[in-house]
Amino acid sequence: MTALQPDNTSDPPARLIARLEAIVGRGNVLHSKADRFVYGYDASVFRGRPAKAVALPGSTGEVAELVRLANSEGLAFVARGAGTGINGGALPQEDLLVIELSRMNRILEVDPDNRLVVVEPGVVNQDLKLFLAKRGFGFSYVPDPGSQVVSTIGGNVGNNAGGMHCLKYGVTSNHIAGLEVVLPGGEIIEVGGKTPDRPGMDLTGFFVGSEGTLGIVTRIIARILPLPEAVLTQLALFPDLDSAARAVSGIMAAGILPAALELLDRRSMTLVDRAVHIGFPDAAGSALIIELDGVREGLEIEVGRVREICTANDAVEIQTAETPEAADRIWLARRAAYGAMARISPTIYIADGCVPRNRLSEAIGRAIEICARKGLEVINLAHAGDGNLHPLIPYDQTIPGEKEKVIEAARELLAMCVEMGGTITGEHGIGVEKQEEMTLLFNGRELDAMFSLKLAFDPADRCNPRKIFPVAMFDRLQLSGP
Amino acid sequence: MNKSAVLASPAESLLGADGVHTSQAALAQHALDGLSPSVVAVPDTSEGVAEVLKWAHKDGLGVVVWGSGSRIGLGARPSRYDIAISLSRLNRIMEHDVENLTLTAQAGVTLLEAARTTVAHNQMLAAGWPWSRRTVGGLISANRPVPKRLLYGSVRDQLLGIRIALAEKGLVGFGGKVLKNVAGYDMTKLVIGSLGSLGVIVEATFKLFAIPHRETYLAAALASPILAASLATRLANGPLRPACLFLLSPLAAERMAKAQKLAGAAREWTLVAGFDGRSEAIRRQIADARALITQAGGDPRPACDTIGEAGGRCLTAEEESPPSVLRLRVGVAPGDVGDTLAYLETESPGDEPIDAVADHPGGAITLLFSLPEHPGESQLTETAGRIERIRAWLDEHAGFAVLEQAPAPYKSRISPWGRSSGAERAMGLIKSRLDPKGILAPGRFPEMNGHLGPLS
Repeated sequence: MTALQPDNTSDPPARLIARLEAIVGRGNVLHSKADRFVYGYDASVFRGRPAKAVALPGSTGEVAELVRLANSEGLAFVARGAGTGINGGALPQEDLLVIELSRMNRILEVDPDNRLVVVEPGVVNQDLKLFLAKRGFGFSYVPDPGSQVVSTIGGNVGNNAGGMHCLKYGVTSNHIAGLEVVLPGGEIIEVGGKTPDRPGMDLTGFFVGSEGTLGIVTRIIARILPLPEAVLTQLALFPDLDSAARAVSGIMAAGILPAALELLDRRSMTLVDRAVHIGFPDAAGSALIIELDGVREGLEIEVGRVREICTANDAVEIQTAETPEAADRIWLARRAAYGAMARISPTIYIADGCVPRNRLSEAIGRAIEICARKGLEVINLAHAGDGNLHPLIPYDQTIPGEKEKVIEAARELLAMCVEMGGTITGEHGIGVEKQEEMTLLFNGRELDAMFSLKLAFDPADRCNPRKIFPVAMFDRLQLSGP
Repeated sequence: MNKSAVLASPAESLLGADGVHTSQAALAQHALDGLSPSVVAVPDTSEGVAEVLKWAHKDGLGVVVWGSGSRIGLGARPSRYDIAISLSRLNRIMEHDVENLTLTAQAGVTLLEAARTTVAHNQMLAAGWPWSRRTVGGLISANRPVPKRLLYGSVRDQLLGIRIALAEKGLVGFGGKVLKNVAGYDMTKLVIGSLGSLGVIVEATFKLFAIPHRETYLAAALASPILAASLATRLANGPLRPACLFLLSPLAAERMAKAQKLAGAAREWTLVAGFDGRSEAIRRQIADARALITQAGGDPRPACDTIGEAGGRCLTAEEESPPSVLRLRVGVAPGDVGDTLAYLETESPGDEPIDAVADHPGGAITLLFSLPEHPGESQLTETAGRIERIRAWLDEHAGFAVLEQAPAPYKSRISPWGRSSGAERAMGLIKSRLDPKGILAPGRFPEMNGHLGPLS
């Protein structure tokens, strides 16, 4: 993790501002001290340097011109969506141009015959969902990261965002059919498209999740899926985490593929209860939200099977939502969780790691131990079907040394995930947060292979510089030149 | 000394005598577009593959990788072909993680072998038919359309991790066993469809699915490809959850009728819809699908619970084709499948019936041309002109057409890839870094190889 960056940037020269304004228009360049300062922040616990300037382009052509201008000025640049990333991926690591894509927020096309939409990167995830719902297309854009009400599709693509419905429907990458990308040199290319399986490598899949380090995505062709005929939601309460985890394995072993399988531990249940009054019984040590969807006939049988499996694994209570309102109430228990945490602490560190599904309970147990050793509290939420755990560590950053303690605990958590056969990030990406932890997962040759592709597209490391890879790799590059 | 003899000795020092074949029969068996390799390397470990690549990289030897060979005809004639690497001995299942529903297999494992392993636990690899002799490595390299992609996704949706031998950097691994993984670049995606041009896949991890309680297929005869395709769109876009939707031209339907009673009467455009799931859900979906078919003026046949290997081969055009057949793989957006088939019908000279099957959700049409094996000049010109016309039409519809198989005289006249998509430069750039001397599948993607320079 990189240290805090000092604020020692100078005001941008008027000449640069004039050139930026010539590209995007006068009202679309931000360069006051305050504006530049706030772009040194995002939703992470990290802080970058203030931006040199912020430009808000309105078209692909403008993005390409900005990128070319940056190159001609020897200036680095970073694309930014809503800034909801928690890995610091959008933070300026040097004196650079921020290209904010919020103005490029048009839904360009809905193509029901091909089950696709074409959107600009600044479209907010939930806005697309609401647009499809309100117009009655009968389709939905499925990926639903926790930040969906504010985060943009472009940001979701950059980070290959996950969500609650990945077990059945996959992560963002599985829903992206094609991209238009402005490459770091300013060239515009299209990869993928409405026609599936074009010959050659899957470049679309390669660009998704590259965290804006290989170019700036300016148009996205995304899959939409017909709405399921029926959705049935259950809430099962268990005496402890182990029994809930056994139920998860049991459900999967029975050949049932739920749309979502979300796990809450006792501490998160208590906090949620305090915030939104779900009324969890005291005997419940964990809660599992199970959502099944599909054709109505088969579904009711599966709901019955899930009930049996939960009962066999000592569930103390099982509720099945009979109405959409009741289902919303069950989901509230999960969706309100982050907000509920905010009541107990000014700052919350969200850890993100994955382990094989059958080791989730063990991983959460060890996460609790790791945090306890450091005198930290931890609250556990997990996308249980994916083995994606999110230990939440509340802390007070005004207490000296507290943040460092959290970061140390997070490192141990990630090492544990790798040791258990998992990964250091399930859905939030590397950014500046986990650069050094990449070595837990990849050896030198693997890192070199990926880094060589970064340099192939961006030899001078101007496109979201100094991200993803261990800092030493960039330092070596500066010594030796590209 | 001939080249075989020269290369045999270093190859044997890496793989042992039983890992290297230089017999005429072995070399001929691995010939490509009239070109034979000098040695066939048959490593039995991943490390062996890496050693061979290291040697080839050092000495600048051209390498082509073989799985089952079913799609080895894809791509241009290699510009250099010294070593064929056969993955037939890389055939071990490394791990079937029953609880986590994943399978890690060496690249030479066939779908059939994978199915034999997973069936014991009522699980399946959904990336292809369970009877297929195709290898998992080949499936990834050629990015084969998944028959039931509507329900299970395509190869890119099912592949979780790979181990790959790179020319310069040796064995590396990307991705893993977990469903969500966003650490670093998604290198697994790059090898999908790369036809062995970036490295040699030695191991792959896939997610598995539970074997459905039941699978049922329903076929319907329709008056035209447009009607059949619009019905397919309706079936895919409503509340039903079909696993697959295939369209067969009358000629292909006739073949299907012979192989399998499902298609019923021959010589009609036929839509085949497949459903996987619980019996109750399938019964309801078959009933609804029948109603939709009848509404569309189609003639639904009795549903059928299995199509077997013969039927499956018809649907995905995997019958053994004689060497005289030219196989064109056309890709369009799913919504354009009907128009494309209608165009292909009208385009056919002398109203000759077309032999085509289409995977509707995949927008994948396989078109078979039976041609004289030893054509005269006029035949060659006519066939090349016809494919040129088809490609021009597809250009207007954001489609493409690649040659999957063609008798040698045709292949030398017709570009295997057709028009450039514009992304080749980026692909060339990637290749130049992972295979700096261009030893892997050399010349097979000429469009890409032409763009190995810096990007901007």
